[in-house]
Amino acid sequence: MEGAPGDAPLGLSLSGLEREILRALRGATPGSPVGETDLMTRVSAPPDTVRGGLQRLRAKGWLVLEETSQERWVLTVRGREALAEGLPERRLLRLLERGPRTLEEIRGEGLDPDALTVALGQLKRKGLLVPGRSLALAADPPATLEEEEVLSRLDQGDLPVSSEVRTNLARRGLVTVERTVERRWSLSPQGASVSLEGAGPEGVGALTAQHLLKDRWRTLAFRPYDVRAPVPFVGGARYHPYLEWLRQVEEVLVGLGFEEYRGPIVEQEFYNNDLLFMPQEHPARSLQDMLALAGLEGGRIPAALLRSVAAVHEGRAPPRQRSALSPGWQTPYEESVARRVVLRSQTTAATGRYLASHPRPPFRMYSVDLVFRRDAVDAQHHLQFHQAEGVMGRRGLTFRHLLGLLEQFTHALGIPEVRFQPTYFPFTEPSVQGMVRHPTLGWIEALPGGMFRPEVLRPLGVKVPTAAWGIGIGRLALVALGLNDIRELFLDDLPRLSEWRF
Amino acid sequence: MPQSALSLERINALLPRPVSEETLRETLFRSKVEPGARLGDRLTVEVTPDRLDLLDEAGLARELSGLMGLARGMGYAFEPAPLPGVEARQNASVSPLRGEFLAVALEAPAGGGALDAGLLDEVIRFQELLHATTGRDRRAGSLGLYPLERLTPPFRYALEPLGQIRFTPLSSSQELAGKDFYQTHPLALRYGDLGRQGELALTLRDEEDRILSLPPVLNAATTGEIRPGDRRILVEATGTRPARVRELIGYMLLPFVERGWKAHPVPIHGPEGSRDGQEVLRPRRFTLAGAGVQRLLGVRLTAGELADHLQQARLAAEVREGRIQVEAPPWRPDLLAEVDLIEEVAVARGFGRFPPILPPSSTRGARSRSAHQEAQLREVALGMDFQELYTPVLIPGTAAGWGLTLSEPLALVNPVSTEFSHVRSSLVPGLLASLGRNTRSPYPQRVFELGTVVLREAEAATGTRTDRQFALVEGAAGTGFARAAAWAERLLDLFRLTAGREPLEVPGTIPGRCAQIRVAGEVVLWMGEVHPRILSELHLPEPVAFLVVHGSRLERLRPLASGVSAP
Repeated sequence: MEGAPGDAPLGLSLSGLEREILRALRGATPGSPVGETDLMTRVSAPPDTVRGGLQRLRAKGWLVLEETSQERWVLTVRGREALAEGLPERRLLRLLERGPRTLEEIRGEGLDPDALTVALGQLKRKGLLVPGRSLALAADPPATLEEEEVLSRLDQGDLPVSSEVRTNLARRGLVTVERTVERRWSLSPQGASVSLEGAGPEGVGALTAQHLLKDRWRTLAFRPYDVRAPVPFVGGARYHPYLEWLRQVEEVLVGLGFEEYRGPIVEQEFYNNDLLFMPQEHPARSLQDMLALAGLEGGRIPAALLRSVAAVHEGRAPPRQRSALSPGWQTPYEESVARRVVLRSQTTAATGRYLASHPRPPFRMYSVDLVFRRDAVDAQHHLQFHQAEGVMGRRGLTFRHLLGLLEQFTHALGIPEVRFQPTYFPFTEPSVQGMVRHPTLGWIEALPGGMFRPEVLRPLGVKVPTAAWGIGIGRLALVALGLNDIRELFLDDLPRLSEWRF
Repeated sequence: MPQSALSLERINALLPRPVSEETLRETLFRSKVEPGARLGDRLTVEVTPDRLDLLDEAGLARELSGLMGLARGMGYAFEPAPLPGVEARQNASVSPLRGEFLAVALEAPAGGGALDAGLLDEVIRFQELLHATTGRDRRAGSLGLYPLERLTPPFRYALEPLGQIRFTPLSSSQELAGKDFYQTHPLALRYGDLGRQGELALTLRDEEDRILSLPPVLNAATTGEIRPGDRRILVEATGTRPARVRELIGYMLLPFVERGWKAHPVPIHGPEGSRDGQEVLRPRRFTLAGAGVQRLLGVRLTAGELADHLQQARLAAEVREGRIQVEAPPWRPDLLAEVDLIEEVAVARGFGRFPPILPPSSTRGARSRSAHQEAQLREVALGMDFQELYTPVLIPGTAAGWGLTLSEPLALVNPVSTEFSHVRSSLVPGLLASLGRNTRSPYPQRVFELGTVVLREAEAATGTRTDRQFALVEGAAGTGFARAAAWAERLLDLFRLTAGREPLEVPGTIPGRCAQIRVAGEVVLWMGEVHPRILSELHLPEPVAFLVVHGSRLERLRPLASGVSAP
């Protein structure tokens, strides 16, 4: 983050330490690099100081560094615990060997919810479970699971093991890679030939407070420096580049006349889905896609709003509204589903809350905030990402205004080309997908939006045409920041952040 | 999005004239189809969930021909008369298990067009896609297709004791006892519960008492097997959701009707009376007014132009007294109301023909008040040489258990992995984990985050409160509680607040080195020195101190009107 205290500028002149290092290396067997640990014993200075001297000499081109890194898979603390107490799947197998059991019974026998989730996943994948109300074994369990064997082998030494199983164990936090780097130093041709006797004129290196206070500087000669020589990198703290970019997005939206609104990230399904005319049976509402929270029972929903939303879902709208409304989803609407508590999967939930507060038209609201989906993490997917949500309503607003706004927004972000394609969302009609041109990927989906359906607006009491959009802003951020992997948005490598270029 | 791989050759065979792949891709950009890679004759397509009809080769050909102006109108004639004698009965006992039963009889055009191998493949593939989507993995509804010419109607659904059932599964020659089938067959293990009630199972039999299928699990060999050359096919659907069952039948008409087959209703006699079976075949009717189109799309179109666009969308449309009367075929369940027809107009016209215009602006944009305070906190942190980080809201159970929070983190019911199993209630664990990934970087290390946390709040409808938190964390030789307390004093001073520290016991800190600061009775800041147990777990070589600020409480107490004051 910052240079070590007392670092002097690099110069032609050699400090005592640097001379000592060069002498130590000249004393070693010619052609054989000296290990850094060994070198520490040959130089009479603290290790950190020696390291600083080594780096300075290397920057001058007088030393050559060879680094050899080694990786070794080792058990984590949890891995060692699992080896001692049994993996969750082994503990579940032991229980089921005594006969079929319901999930409640299994929890009652000491397998905690986290471990049970893991165990179910693993055993289902191996085909060892018979699904049903009671869990039972599909076959005799193997004496040793592949994971157990790998853990045991890794515990005994670094033996080659199947990378697939190892990756699975790493994902579960049971094994990890231990990296060690060995540094070996040798003299470069220039370093070997530099004279240690008359290296630079005598004189003072660093100007100190003592020199100034007592006017001693008047009698001192200062060693000249090689002003062309490399210097250490000066980093310093920075705002996180991704968050900073998000703030630029927000500034654009504020400039377009939108006011910020924030909603909770833990929502009842009513706000996350029902209010948006998402059918309660919609596949995206299953626990395969949304993240649910343990131990929370959703509370009451405002009764009048709940009644109105239930009516449009079931196609029971008042007769005078029926011409504009659909017959609904024709499935029973259940309040118990509406009350369920989840991590919100779309910032449109915030829009629903905003509109439920009955803003007076004209209105424009935005929310750049977090949403969560139950995705496996890879280069393109993460469980957590930002959406930039916007909604605007006024008399006379049309689909063409929505296209105009999306176009203006992308231009303001420096994206010159955008074109529009039909798409589908349960809560908007027409629905549009704005495609932007990526320099290498070509046209990519980036700007979904649409005009809210009457089934959304009527229960909320909104009587003006309303357009909405919810952009997965992370994808645009990758383009803007020159990244290829969505995980890099969570970059926390301090030197890299310090060196980040705008 | 749902996807499939379709035969380009077979799609072209259904078009009035063949089109190149390039033309096809360009045209599909205007639709709800996303063409993907091509492998041989097969083109992968993804469609939006409302247009499953486009996952069928005939459906895609219809869409293309409409958008390219090669064909217009619905091209489907409703046939109200059933085939003589073709009907079904539904025993009263089956209702609780599968509440809805519908069927249609399909008949090949005279003089050709019998089922061929290609159509058979397409139908089976489409059936499985429909089971997975509309059928909700057969729970909401499932389809069966049978060789009507080799069966003897009427058909009947009944619940029968497993002991009475002898069944030869499709693609097998071995007859099984009902019980054996349900205990051994892979599809029975997966779907058996949907068609069974204890020791009773749902059967579909013909007049000669032959089992056609055990819905919704599997058809029988011979009686439940359609083959190339067949000219009459029975399509039936059962399910728990009437709307989904109707949709399934409607979609399955498409590959046949588009090739000239006729669809006849199949009357079904049940405990609550008889149904003529026409409801699933009859086109649905709508009325569209030009004013609504102009209000939503922002373009003025004549009634004639609207009707023209709707016909391009392969719907029946005619102008009567200035309004457009529209009919939609059974495979378009996505059309629910006027706005859906307006979207059809927009898609058929092409989104490119709706020039974007800037919306009139009479609102003033603004960040939230908390955003203003947050900007100030970030500025303070940067001024103290703290690097900003962005860490996940979801944290592993191990970090949740470190005890570096004042509110117990919430666990997820269905985590994807142990790495993301809890919702953080404090920013400190995530920042600490980041230091753990930076042990090879130079020290001192100072990081901060301003982010979202979730706290328990029993009175709230969700049992939680989403809050914004600000945290400073420093790993450095010589750092400790005193450093964190000094940051707290600095912030209090900047925000013009005065308060004293109170001792606090938090498990993740060194006992006696943690404190909180209350203002007006509320804890606004707390700070401490991380316990070496946690540092050791993370292999952190230096001590770590932290400060946490509850953003919303700070904002409530002392909103700042202007910039940060000088110290």
